[in-house]
Amino acid sequence: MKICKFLSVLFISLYFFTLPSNFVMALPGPVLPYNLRWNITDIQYYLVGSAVNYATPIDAASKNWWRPFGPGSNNLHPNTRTYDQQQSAIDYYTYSDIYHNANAYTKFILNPNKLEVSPFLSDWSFGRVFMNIPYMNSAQGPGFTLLQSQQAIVAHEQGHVFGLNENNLTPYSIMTQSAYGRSVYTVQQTDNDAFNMKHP
Amino acid sequence: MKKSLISGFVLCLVLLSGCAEVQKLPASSPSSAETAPSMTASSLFFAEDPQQKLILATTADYVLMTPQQVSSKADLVVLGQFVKNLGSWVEENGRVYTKGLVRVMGILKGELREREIEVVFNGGVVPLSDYLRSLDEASVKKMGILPQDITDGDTVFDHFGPYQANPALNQPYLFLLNAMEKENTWFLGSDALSMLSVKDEQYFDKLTKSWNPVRDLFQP
Repeated sequence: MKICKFLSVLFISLYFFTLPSNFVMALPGPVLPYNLRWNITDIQYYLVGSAVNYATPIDAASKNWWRPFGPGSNNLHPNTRTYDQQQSAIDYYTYSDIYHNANAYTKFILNPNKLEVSPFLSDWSFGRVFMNIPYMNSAQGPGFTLLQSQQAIVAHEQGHVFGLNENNLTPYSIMTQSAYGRSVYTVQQTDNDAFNMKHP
Repeated sequence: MKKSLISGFVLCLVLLSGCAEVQKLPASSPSSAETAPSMTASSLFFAEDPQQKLILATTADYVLMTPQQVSSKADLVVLGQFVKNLGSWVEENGRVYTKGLVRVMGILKGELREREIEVVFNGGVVPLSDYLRSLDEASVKKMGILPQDITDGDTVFDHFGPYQANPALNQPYLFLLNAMEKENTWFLGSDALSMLSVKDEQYFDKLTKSWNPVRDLFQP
């Protein structure tokens, strides 16, 4: 009887001891307080000017966010390139600023311009991603090729347009900022969970 | 049996509460958290303006953020204060910059002959008409801004979200600066993270929200 008691306490303890760590691992990453208004099942992107030079990593990052099947699938569709800027939810631009310590940044635009357009104050209609050419061309994630490192930068900015915030508590999220040692170049479970929280 | 179930339940509650604590921790927990330095709104470069038509916020993928990261890559680290706002302007595709005049009170890293330097940083307030002129036609059309929507005095505040540099005039800061091509002109490479509030030989770390000794900036 004593053994039975001991085992029951042990099993219950072990169950709850292992549960929290799994629970933490599966937590969705942080999200922005407001939302992208564009229909998530009709997302396309547009390349402005010399952004076409990064068409390959942009395409790879876009496909990487797309999870149409299986457990944890999302509603993102088709996330491909359009040649009509009025039809795109994400516009890619480039800039060249060796003084700015950033790979890229995203601006949030609301159409029409009736409200403030900060992701902390209002929804946004679409996003503009600005890629910093000198940093894009020398991007070097841990053990990644140049293309993989560029893909990581693009996927990170796409995440912002979709409504995800920085996730600097772990290096294993695409939403981790480079300065915090982002160690992945693909969308992780925590990122996809955050995406699904935003776009159920 | 009841007793053992209760003890198991209590144990699991303790474990779960511990787990919740872990999730609350910031990326780097402050050792001596104190209140952030307060600034007088009237002395800030960018204050609220009722004619501000647009506020465009930005999130950036910085490669350097912590004070140690930024200072290690800075060409010049000085103690100084902004004494004048030299104005904002907009470049291609709506990228806004601001320039200010900084009076240097001390040099901690690098070399400098002048006692006053020009410091450029991202973001700022520009006329809406200037901002729209910097964009191509399709980008303006997409924003849905019609000529009749624009009135004289409408402005755009282009800012880098929580990391927008918004200095207060005549307040001491530690500037972690990158040299620009133009002589005597420097850049805040990591925006507000390159401009640290200082008091009593300590700087304020915006990421950990804590005051730390200035000497720690230069430790490997």
